Amino acid sequence: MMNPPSFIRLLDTTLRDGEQAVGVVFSPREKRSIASLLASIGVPALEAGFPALGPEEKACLHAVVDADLHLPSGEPLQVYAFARARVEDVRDAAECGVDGVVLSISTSDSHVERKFQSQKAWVLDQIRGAAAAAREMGLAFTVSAEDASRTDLDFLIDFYSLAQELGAEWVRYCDSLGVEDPYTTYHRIKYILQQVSLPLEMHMHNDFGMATANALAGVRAGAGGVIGSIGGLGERTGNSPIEEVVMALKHLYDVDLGVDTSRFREIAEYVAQASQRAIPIWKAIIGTNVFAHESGIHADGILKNPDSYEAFRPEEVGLERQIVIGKHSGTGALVHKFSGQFGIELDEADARALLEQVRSTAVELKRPLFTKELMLLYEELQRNGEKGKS
Amino acid sequence: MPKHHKTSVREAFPEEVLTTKITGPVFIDDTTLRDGEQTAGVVFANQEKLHIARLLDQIGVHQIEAGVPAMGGDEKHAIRDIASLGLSASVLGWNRAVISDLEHSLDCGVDAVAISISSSDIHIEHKLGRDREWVLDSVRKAVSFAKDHDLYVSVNAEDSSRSDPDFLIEFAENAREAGADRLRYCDTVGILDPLGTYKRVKALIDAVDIEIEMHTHNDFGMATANAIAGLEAGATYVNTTVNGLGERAGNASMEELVMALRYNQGVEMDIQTSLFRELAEYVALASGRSIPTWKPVVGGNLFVYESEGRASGVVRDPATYEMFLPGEVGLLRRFSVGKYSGPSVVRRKLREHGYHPSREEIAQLVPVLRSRSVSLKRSLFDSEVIEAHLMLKERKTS
Repeated sequence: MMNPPSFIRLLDTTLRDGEQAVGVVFSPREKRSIASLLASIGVPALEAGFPALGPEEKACLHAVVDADLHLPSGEPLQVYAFARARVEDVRDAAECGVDGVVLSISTSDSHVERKFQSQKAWVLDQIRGAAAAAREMGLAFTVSAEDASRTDLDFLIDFYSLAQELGAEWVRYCDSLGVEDPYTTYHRIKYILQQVSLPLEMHMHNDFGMATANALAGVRAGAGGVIGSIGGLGERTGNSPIEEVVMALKHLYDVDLGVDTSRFREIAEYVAQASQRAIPIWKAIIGTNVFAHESGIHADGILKNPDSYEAFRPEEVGLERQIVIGKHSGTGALVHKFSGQFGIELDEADARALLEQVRSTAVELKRPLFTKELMLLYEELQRNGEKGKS
Repeated sequence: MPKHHKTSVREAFPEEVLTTKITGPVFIDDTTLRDGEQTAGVVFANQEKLHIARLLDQIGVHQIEAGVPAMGGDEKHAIRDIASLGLSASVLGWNRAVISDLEHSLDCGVDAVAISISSSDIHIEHKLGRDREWVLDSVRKAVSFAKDHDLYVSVNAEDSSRSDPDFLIEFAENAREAGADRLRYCDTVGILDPLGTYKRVKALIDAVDIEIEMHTHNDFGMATANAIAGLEAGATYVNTTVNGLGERAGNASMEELVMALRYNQGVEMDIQTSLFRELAEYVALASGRSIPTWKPVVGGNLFVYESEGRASGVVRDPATYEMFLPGEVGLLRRFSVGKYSGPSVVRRKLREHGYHPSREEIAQLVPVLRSRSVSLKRSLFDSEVIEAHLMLKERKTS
């Protein structure tokens, strides 16, 4: 391993930004279960919700805090509440007994002028007030720049420098609209970190499909933290999926964060049920189809050596490899399937004849074949063969 | 695990990348009908293939990878039919580096062929059971045959990203000398990141004078970013699929790529983006894989506003939370009342239905709707919002 495991802090926001996805609502019990699952695989910190929403949401935060969760290492799970940079929001957070509070405010001209109809000086004042409240209430705090990616860099540096003076533990960079590409992200984060020496965490959105690449580009530029959510659940297109960030760091950069990845699928299934959003079968890392191989070339390669088409083993994320028999299958996969599953050794002529039947049946049904259908096709061929002989 | 070139997580991006602009032109070679259909479980009917090809052509993609002629049967019929539609787009058939495969392509009347063979040692040794010399020789023979028949030739270096970079240069040079028009750089296993992609593609382009096409997979969620990194390094073609359909986690998605080029890179292509949602829906139905509501660019929920902060911003000015207007990709903007909604969403929703609640009425209504959404564990139907409003009004007057 090239780097110590604790070198990048993961923070999960499934319970906050994830729940903000249209139509998603978690109950207090579900929030506690998700928090407990995340802690049990070694995710060190999470955002549990937005207490200012009202009593129901406060009940959710209490459920998570009261569970007193710990990581396998024995470290306590760090629980954060999300707040707007307002004294009353900070008070709501403090009432929930969280470890820290995220003080969020928009910093871009577009948001400051058009959404708040206000001035930059006002933004800085809001942060001063909220930070003072957090300090008074004994809460660690993160200062978060919403729409940071569309914010003038000089103002962003003023903003983060103020956060540093006020005693923030972390600062957060949000690509709220998901508009960055990895190069822009890298360039901007690098520039910021040259002027501000606070740990910075990346909160990226997936509007152009680049949330993971952008979060990692931030890490490359020196960011100390990445925010993600299970399956990428979040506003609009969602956030950086935490499973992609963890696996990319591990397999593409040799940085092992010490997360038990073998339970990714299990946790993703739970979140999928609680959020009523099924995991697409092709979802990177955790989709059930990412280790399914149908095409002749791929299946043949996999059977000879899994490394030919797999970057890591399915067990590593709690999945299984499948060889699907359908339109694109070749004889190799058929021979393997029959020998392994039915104990029948197909010779080449049988395999070829069967393959032809398999292909036309798959085209007719517009799907791959069930095991039962394969067996029936085989029996039909055998019968016809015998008829031919007699 | 196989060794592939890894970059250190803290390695700097080269300065040049930060100032590099994709100057274009960028060409899209869509492979929904080939790599898309190769996805385990997906089969398109021939009629569907024809319809998808027509839509792709109408949208303005430059080349359509129509399938694998050597599979014979229905597949071959479909490709022949697509090639004879008289589309503006070039129609390409996929082949192994085998003459008989190319003969099937010729039968179909395509104007372009991809000649695919692995360039990584792990594939050459374990999958093909051959050596590098055999690979180069197969490419030469296949390319000469195709060029003798006046076909446009793309040589696909399968598993490029895990190939020895020096051998890949030799492979590309060999293809170029044999007459190939371009080389497809395949991240077959999806193990690249943008920096690694940029460096590897740049090294190849600096060494060999041949057009490069990017073919990326989404195994770590970076297919689109990697395709763009390749373009920044000088590639000119991108192999995409609608909805990112494709083997395992899929390919670079066509709609993400086009919109990212437009909005991140300032590269404009003559593509009818307003048909994206229609095309996405058609491919979703034909492939039996519905579009997740959160899918970038074409997901049904992208312009649905529930949380108060976003909704109030968007009502004042869409630019606060939208990079492009929904109509640009064939979607609609909607408001939805749920746990995260506040006064502006509720007011907006009621006004849509012709109600004009007072400020006090809204203030009373918001906590009621919020707890209803929490207890139902979902957002509310419009009728539920109206009902709650009318009930509160009634209680007040009685």
